[in-house]
Amino acid sequence: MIETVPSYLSVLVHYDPLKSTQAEILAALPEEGPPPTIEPRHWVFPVCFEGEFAPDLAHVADWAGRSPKAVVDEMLAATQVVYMLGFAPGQPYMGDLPDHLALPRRKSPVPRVERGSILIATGKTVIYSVVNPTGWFVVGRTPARIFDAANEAVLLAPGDHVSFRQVDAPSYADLEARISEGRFDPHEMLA
Amino acid sequence: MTYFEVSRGGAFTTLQDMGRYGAQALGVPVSGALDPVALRLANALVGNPGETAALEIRLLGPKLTLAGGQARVALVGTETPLTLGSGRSVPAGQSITLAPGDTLDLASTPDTGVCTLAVAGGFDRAPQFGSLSTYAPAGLGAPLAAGDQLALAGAPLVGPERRLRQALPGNGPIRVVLGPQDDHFTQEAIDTFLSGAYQVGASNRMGLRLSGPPLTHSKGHNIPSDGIVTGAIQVPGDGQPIVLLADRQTTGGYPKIASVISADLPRLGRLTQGTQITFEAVDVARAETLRRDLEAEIQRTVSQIEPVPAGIEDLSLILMRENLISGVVGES
Repeated sequence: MIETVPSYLSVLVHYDPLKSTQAEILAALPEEGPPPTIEPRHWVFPVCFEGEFAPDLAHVADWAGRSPKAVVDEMLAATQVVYMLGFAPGQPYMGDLPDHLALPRRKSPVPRVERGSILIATGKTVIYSVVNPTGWFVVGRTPARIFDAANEAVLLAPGDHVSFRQVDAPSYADLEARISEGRFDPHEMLA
Repeated sequence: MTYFEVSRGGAFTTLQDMGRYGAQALGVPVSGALDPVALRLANALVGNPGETAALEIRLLGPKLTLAGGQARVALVGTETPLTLGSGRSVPAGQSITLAPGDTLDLASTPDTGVCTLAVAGGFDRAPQFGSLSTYAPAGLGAPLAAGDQLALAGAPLVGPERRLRQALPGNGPIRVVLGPQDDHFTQEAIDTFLSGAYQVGASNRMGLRLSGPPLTHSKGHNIPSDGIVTGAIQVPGDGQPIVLLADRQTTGGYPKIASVISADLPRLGRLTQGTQITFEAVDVARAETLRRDLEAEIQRTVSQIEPVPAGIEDLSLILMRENLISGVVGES
């Protein structure tokens, strides 16, 4: 076995077919053990929901039959749980949002979304740790960094709680400057 | 210190080894060589362990000038020869030893999606998450750019230049194991996928877009995000499949109709835009056997590597000067 990747409903086991077979791996799987003990932390991310930071907010609001402000208010009111990390380094999959915000993924992915983007689809929320393509909808952006390549560190862990506080574009720029100059400890975001 | 001075990075030249395993649960992609067979053969030509990091080259190669000391290099995976300045060139599949000041120039490589340039001793760089593989989106390394200096780890030069006696293995349909979400597609879609021809469209290290007969979902195009393997074929809502490659995400939420077997992953990386491909389903046990067969073939190819007969490089030099050939030189 090389490694395992847990997700909502499954565990993916990567194995080397030169060393073992799927049949051997399946026969060797352990019995279900006790659930892991988790001590969740609560993070409050600064998020700007304005203009270029929220290119899909109007589309999401249209789909939900609500105003963009009402959608933002619901994003701000939610405390979401990190279910898993995946897709990109340190990227959390969080939930849940109300059903009327559970729009399906795009029919075809778009090629590029900026780091820090807050995206929603299927009632879940993700924060993009790096630039990547996406099939989700961008409703805001945080200047906070959740992946530190130089130190091989990720900020969030499954079980953590995450909520958002609204910042305007000037405050976003100030925070961005502090973060890029190393004058921001992400633990300031702990509730 | 021996190093390459980069005067042209190329289209997307990156350092790649066998990949970054162990951090997928944190969301860190595996990356690694698109063509691990070429990586192993190129390394074997210069006397390295097969998993040593090498330069992976896509479509337009780099221009590098050696400084400090000697270096033995080998290119594998293209018909385009390496140009060494002052009329010298060496075909792919053959090692060559450079002296300080030699410039190595690899022009366009339109015959393949990827080729590999290995250097004896490898590169002097600190691994991240246990690997030297570049994963550019997350700042784990970066593609080569003009002005970069690439430090070499260095290795003693042992024995004569060496060359491959065989081409890279692989042709015929791309073999797949159906699933894990084949139940999200109509039976007609599965039949279409396994009988239709698909044309390779735009690609990068993350994936390969295909166009062909559309594949109809029976349960929509959304699943709860789950784990992804290299070679997974996801089908978004437009019904056009995307084959995920080395820089693929660790998890994803489009249904995956099938996964390319590990024995055929190296072939995926070599595919060029416009190529038509077809798929053939095999079961897991057969896929495992085919992977072991490929391993035996790689080991046989490595064991048949032979010294370059004296005079071969001189001949290509003469032919180049006489302008009798172009493009393909001394193909082995």
